[in-house]
Amino acid sequence: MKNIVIALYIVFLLFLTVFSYSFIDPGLFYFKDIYTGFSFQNRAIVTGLYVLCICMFFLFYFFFSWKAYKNTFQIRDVLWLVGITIGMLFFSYPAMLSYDIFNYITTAKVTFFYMENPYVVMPIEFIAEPFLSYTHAANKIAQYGPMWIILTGIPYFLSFGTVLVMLYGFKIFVGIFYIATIVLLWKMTKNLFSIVLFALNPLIVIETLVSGHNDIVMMFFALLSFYLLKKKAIALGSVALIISVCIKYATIFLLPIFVFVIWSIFQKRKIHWDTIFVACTAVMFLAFILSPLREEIYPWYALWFLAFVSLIPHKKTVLYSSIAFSFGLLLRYVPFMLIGSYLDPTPIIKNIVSFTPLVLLGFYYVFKKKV
Amino acid sequence: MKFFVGVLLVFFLLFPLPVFAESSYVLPYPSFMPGSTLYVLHGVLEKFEKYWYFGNFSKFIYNLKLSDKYLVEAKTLFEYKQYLLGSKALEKSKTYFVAAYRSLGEAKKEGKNISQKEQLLKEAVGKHIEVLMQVKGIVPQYFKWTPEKDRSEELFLWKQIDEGVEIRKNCT
Repeated sequence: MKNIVIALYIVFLLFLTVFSYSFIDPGLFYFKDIYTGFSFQNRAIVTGLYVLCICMFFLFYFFFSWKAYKNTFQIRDVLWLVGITIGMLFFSYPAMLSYDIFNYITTAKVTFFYMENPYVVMPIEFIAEPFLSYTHAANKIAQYGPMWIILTGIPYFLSFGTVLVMLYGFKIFVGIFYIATIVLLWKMTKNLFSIVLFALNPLIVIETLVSGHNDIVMMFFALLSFYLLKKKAIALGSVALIISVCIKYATIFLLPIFVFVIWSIFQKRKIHWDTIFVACTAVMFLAFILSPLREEIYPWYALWFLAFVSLIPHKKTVLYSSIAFSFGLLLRYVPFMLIGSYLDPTPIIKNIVSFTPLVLLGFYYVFKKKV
Repeated sequence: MKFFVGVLLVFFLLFPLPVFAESSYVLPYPSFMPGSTLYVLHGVLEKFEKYWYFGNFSKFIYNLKLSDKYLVEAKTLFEYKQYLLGSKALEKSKTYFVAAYRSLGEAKKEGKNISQKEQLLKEAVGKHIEVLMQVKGIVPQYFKWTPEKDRSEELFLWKQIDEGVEIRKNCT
C-alpha cells in the first residue's frame, strides 16, 4: 500500500510539474517556444485541474502524516519523500501562482548588476530592460529586508547573470533553506511526525519548492534563533533573529517572546518550550492576520506560523486548524485563475474560500461537542 | 449683443493678463529653516544619507532632491529678507544641481538609459529657472550684510541668481 501511494505521489508530482508550465507568462520570452497560453484560454479547465491537484496533494499529505503518526514510517521513507518532492518540483515553473521570483531576480539585478540602491531606484527606471517584460512589480522599490537583498547575491552571481539559470538558481537557493529548516526541526523535535507535518504540507511545498518564496529563509533563521536559545547561545540566537527580521520583517513579532526567554535564562527560570512555541505560533498568526494592513493575505505568509505549528503537533486544535487553513489558503488562487481579474468579486471570493475550511472545522468542533 | 462682444474683445486685447510659462515639475514644501535646532540635525542626516544613495541613479535622485530643497529654502529666506542665509541656500542648491547633472553623466558612462532622468532634469531646470526669476524680482541687486560683531559681507544677489540660471541652462 505504502509503495503504491508513493508511486502515485511521484506521478502526481510529475503532473504538477508539467501542469505548472501551462501558466507561463507571455512576457517571459525565454520560454516563448513552450508558451501555449493554455491557462489563459481555458480558465475553467485549468481551475478544475488546480483544485483537483490541491485535493490530491492533501490526500497524500493526510496519508503520509497518518503513517508518521502511527510510526509506520522510517526516517529513510521521509527522506525519500522529501527528496523526490524537491527533485521533481525543482523542474516546475516557478511563476505558476506568484510572480515574486521575478521580483527577486529583478531586485538582485538592480543591486548587483546596476549597483543601485533597490530601496531608492525602481526597476521601471531602467528603460528597455528585458526584465520589465515579465516583472510584475517593476514600479515598486524593494519590498524585502536588506539581508534578503544581500543573500540574493549568491544565486545572482552563481548564475553569471543568465536569467533562466537565475530563475532555477533561486529555487535551489530556497530549496536549500527548506532542507535546512527540516534538519533544524528534526534537531529540535526528533519527531518524524513533526517533520512530515511541515515538510509535506502542500502549502509549504507549493509556496517554497514551486514558487520559491523567501519566507522559508526568514523562518529558518527564526527557528534557528530559538534553537540556539534552547542551547543557551544567546548572542548567536540574537544574531539569527536579527537576520530573520532583516529578511522580511514579519519575525519582529517574535521579539517580545525572544526577550522573555532570554530573561528567563538569566533568571534561571524553567522554560516551558511548548508554551513558548504556542506563543510564537500565536504572534506569527497575528502578523499573518495583520498583513492586509500592508497589502493583503498571501498564502505563503502562512509559513510564518506553520513553521511553529510543527513544533507543537500534539496541540490538536492548532494542528487541524492550520491544516484546514493551509487548504483554504491554497484555494485563494482559484478566483483569479477562473475569472482572470483582481477586481470584484475576486477579493470577496478569495476571502470566502480562504476561511471556509476553517469555519467548517469550527462547526465540526461545535457539533462534536454537542453530540 | 454684437456691440457688447466687441467691447469685451477690445478690452481683453488692450489689457492682456501677463502669463508666464510654468513648469509642471513640483518642488517640495519648505523644510526646517536655519535657526531651528532640527535644521542642524537635518543637515547632519543629509550627510549620512549620502551613503544610502549609492549608485548613480540613486545619487541623481539624492542630489536633485537636495537641490530642490535648498532652492525652496532660499526662496523662503529671501521672502523674509534673510539675504545672507538665502544666498548660502542658493549656493547649496546650485552645488547639488551640478552634482545631480554629474551623476547622470556617470550613469550614462555606465551604459544606463538616462532618457527618462534627462527629461526629469530638463523639467527641473525649467522650474528652477522659474523660481530663480521670481526670486530675482524680490531681492536687491546688491546687499551689504553687516553683522553686529563681525565683518560685513557683500552679496551680489542678482549676479548669483544669473549664475544659477546659467549653470542650470548648461545642464540640459
